[in-house]
Amino acid sequence: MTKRETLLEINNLRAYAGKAGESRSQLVNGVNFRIDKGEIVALVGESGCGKSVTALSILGLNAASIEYENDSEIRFHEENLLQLSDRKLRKLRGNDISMIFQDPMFSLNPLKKIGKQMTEALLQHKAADVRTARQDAEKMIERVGITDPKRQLDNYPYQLSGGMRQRVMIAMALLCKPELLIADEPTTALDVTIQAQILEIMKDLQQELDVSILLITHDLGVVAEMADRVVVMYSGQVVEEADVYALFEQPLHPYTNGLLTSVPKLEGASDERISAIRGTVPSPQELPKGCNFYERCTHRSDRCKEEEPVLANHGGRNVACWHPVVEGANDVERTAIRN
Amino acid sequence: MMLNEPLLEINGLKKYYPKKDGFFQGKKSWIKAVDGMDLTIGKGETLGLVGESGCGKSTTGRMIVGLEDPTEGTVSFQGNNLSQVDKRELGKQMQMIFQDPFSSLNPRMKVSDVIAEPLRLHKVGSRIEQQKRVDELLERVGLRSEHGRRFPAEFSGGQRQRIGIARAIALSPSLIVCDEPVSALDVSIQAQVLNLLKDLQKELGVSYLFIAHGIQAVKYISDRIAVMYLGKIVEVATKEELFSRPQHPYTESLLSAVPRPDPKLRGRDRIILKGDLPSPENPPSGCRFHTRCPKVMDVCKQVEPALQVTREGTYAACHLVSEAEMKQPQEA
Repeated sequence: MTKRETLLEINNLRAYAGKAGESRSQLVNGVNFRIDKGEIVALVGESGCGKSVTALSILGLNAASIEYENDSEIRFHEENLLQLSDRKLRKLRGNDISMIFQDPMFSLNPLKKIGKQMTEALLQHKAADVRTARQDAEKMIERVGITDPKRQLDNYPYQLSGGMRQRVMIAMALLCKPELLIADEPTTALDVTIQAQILEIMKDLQQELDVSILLITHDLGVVAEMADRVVVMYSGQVVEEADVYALFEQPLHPYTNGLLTSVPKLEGASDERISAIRGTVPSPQELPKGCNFYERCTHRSDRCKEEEPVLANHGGRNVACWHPVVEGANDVERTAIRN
Repeated sequence: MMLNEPLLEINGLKKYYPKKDGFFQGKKSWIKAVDGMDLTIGKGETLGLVGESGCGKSTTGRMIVGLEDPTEGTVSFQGNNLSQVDKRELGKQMQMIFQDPFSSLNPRMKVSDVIAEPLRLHKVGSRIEQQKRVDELLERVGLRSEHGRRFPAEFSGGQRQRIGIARAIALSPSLIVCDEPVSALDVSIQAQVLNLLKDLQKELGVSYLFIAHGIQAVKYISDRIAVMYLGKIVEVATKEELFSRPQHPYTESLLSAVPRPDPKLRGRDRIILKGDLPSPENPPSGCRFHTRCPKVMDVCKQVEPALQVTREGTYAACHLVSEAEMKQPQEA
C-alpha cells in the first residue's frame, strides 16, 4: 500500500466546557488522529464520548463556551484551525471542508428554495455567476439520484422526504468540491432501505471526487461498509485506531471488543446470548483516575485503576490499554445484566 | 410451525386518520396508517413487528393496548373482544414499554411512585406490600431499592428504560407491547436491555409484541416476525425461516439493506431499492410495494395480493408466492 498524503491532523485535542480555573468538565481529552487524502475515516463511539465535539472543533463550530488547551492543534494545509480567525474559517467552511448533519430537516433553511440554498456556497466561495451556479447545482443533485432536478430546485425543504433532503445536503456539501467532508451520523435518522441508498451515493461520489470523509457514527454496520480506517472513542479519548479489516477481525481494546459482541448477528443462529458491556459511561465530571473504562472492563488489573493508559503502538496498530485483547483468546466474561 | 395457545388475535384491523385539506377544511382525505391486518400472538411468545417509518407498526401497538380505537376490525384478547372489555381491567393484563425513556416517565414523580402507580390504581396489596413489591421490582431490573427515592432525571437512558420495564411488569401482565424499546439507547446499553427482556420472559412467561425498525434486535429477541409495509403485513414467519428464506421481495431487500458489521462482506450482492416510501394517504394500486419492487409484474399493479400460506408454511402477500403455489400441482 502506498502511503498517502496527510490531509488533516489532530494533535492532542483537549476541550473543556466552562472556563479555566472554574469547575469545568473535560469533553475531549487528548485526541490524536489523522485523515489522509481520499480516505474515509470513521469516528466511532457512544453518545457523549466526544466524537461530535471533535468534529465540530475542526470547523470551529463548537459553542463559544467550549475552550481548547493551548497546545491543541488541528493541522490543515500548514495552518492550525483552532487558531484561525473567524473570517478565515468562514472561507474554509463549505469550500475546503464541508459538513452534513444527522437531521437534514434542521440543517436546511425552511424558508428558502432548495436551489437558492444550494447555490449560496458557490456564489460565496467560487465567485460564480447565478446561471452557472444553478447549472452546477442541477448537475449535482442529479448526480445524487434526484430525478427532475430543475423542478426540485424550485421546491422548499418541507416538500421533500427525509432521504431526499439528505441527498440535497450531500449535493450541497460537495458542490464546491471540498477536500474534506465531515458527515455526522448522516444516515441515523433514515430508514434502512434509504440508508443503503445514501451510503451507496456517498461511496460513489467519494471515489469520483477523491474527497476525504470523516464519518461520525455509532453504527458498526455503517463503519464496516464504508470506512478505510476506524478511530474508536470512549469518554473523550481515542482508545483504539486501526485499519477497518484489522479492527473487525481482532479488536484490541476491550471496549471495541465489547461493542462488537453486543450487536446481535444477522447471520446464523441467534439464540446465543449477546454479551453486553456492564455498567454505564462515567460522567465527564467524575472521570476515574486510571483508565476511563475500568469500571466496565473485563480485562482490568490494579494497574488500570491507578495509571491512565496512553495510545501506543501494538503490532502496527494503536490502542490505549494495558491489557489488549489477545489474538484468539476469548476471555471476555459473559456479563449477566443481573448484578 | 406450532403456535402456542393464542393470547391475542387481530382481525381485519384498520386505522384511518382524517386529514383536512383546503382552506375551509372542506375536502377530507384519509391517512391509512393501518389498512387491514390479521395477526396472532401466542402465549409466552415474542412476535417481532418490523417495518420502516410510517408503515403503521406503532399504531398497531397502540390499538392493541387500547390507546387508540380501531377504525375497523377487532382485537381479541384471551377470547374477549377488546372493545367490550373495561380498559382499566385491561391494564392488569397488558402493559407497554415506550421508546423514549425521557418522556415516558413523569419527571415530578419519584421512581418508587412511578413503579407503584399501577399497583395503587388497581389496589393491589397494602401500602407496605406495595413498597416491598417496588423494591423487588427495582432489584429485578438491575437497579437498587434506594434508587426508588430518586427522580427520573437522575438516571441515564438505559436505567430509565429499566424503570419503565419495572413499571410494566409490576402487575405481572400476560402481554407487553414494546414500542422501539432500545432504539434510543447506545449499542452497549441496548444489549443489556435486550438481555433483561429475555430473562424476564423466561421467568414470567409473558408475551411480547416487539416493535422495532432495528432488525438485529428484532431477530435476537423474537420467535416469529411480521414485516409491515404501508399499513399491511407482507410476510409472517419464524425468525429462522424469515432470515434464511425470505419470501416477499420487500423482506428480502430489507434484510439485504442492513449494513453488516463485517468489512469482508462489502462486496456482497445487495438489493438497493429505488425511490422513497409512498405516502400512506394515497397508497399505490394493486400491491403497495409494486412501485419499488425489483420483481414487479403486470398483475402487481392491478391486483392486491392476499396474505397466504407459502410452501414453507409461512405467510406472505405476494403474487410470486401464489404463482409458485399454482405451478406445483400443474407440474405434478
